[in-house]
Amino acid sequence: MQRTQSADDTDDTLIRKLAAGDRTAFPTLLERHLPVIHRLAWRLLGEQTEAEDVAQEAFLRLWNFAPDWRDQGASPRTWLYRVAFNLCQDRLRRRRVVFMETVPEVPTDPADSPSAALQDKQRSAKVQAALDALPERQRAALVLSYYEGLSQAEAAAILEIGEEALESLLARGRRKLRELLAAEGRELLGGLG
Amino acid sequence: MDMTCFQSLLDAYGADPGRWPAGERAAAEALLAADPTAQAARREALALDAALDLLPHPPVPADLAARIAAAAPMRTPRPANNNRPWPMALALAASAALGLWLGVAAGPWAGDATAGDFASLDRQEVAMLAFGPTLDEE
Repeated sequence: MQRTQSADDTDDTLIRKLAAGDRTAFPTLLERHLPVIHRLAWRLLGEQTEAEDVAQEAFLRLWNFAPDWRDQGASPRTWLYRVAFNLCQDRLRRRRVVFMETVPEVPTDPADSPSAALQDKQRSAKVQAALDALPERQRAALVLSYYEGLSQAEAAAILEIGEEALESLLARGRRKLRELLAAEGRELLGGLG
Repeated sequence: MDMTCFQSLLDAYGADPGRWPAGERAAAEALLAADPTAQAARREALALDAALDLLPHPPVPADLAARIAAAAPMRTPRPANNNRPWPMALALAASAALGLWLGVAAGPWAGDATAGDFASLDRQEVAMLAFGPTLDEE
């Protein structure tokens, strides 16, 4: 039922349309926000299937919540981020993550040649392992701030903390990452230092 | 801005001035331009940024949006007024009134016949009278 053209609508307008029964607003919201929500979940969980599940659940909750949507100081994007972040936290707690003091070994296939592409792949796997080794809130702060490029205010709102607390999480996270990656040798950090 | 504040910026946000809080960016850039110590500290932060940038962007599966859009109508959105305060307040008031009536009916001043009727109700029936059927909340 294509009642209106929704591509140019604001997120708030799309939510109101969805609440009024205009289902064409939903694909537009998906197109606009699914990549970032999926990326957030993937970076926090480090696993593709779980990231898809979280992204799907976050959007289905938006669908369900749309009739009750009111201006509550958070944009639909921030709301989605917050829901996805909380879903990720639930999953991480269920995993009973044991935080590591060192980066785990990244398995390599001895049949592979030591090409530049392979080296890049191994280096990025080590960075991912180091990121995964951070406490979850430090990792979330880094993902939201560094990888997603959110403002201090928005990242803090999603984590439901103040901006000073966000800065503290970021600083501790980056410090820990530096330690973990430095232990991996100069190829990861030393080359540009 | 002093070096301690500048280092705090680097520690939290990395080497790219575009990521620094807008309110502190100009002062930090001025210090960076003038102070070799700040420049050396930024080079260290750049190394960590470069390592972080090694991570590829995870690709979104091509059919994920379609799958979510297809799944959404399976979940019936709640009626728009379902979460508003009045229906909940009315339900609570009705429950309170019913509870009061049951208390009076079963109290020491109630006649034998009423007490007998009440005693004949089992716990489940009393719960149904007091709270109604369970709401189908999500």
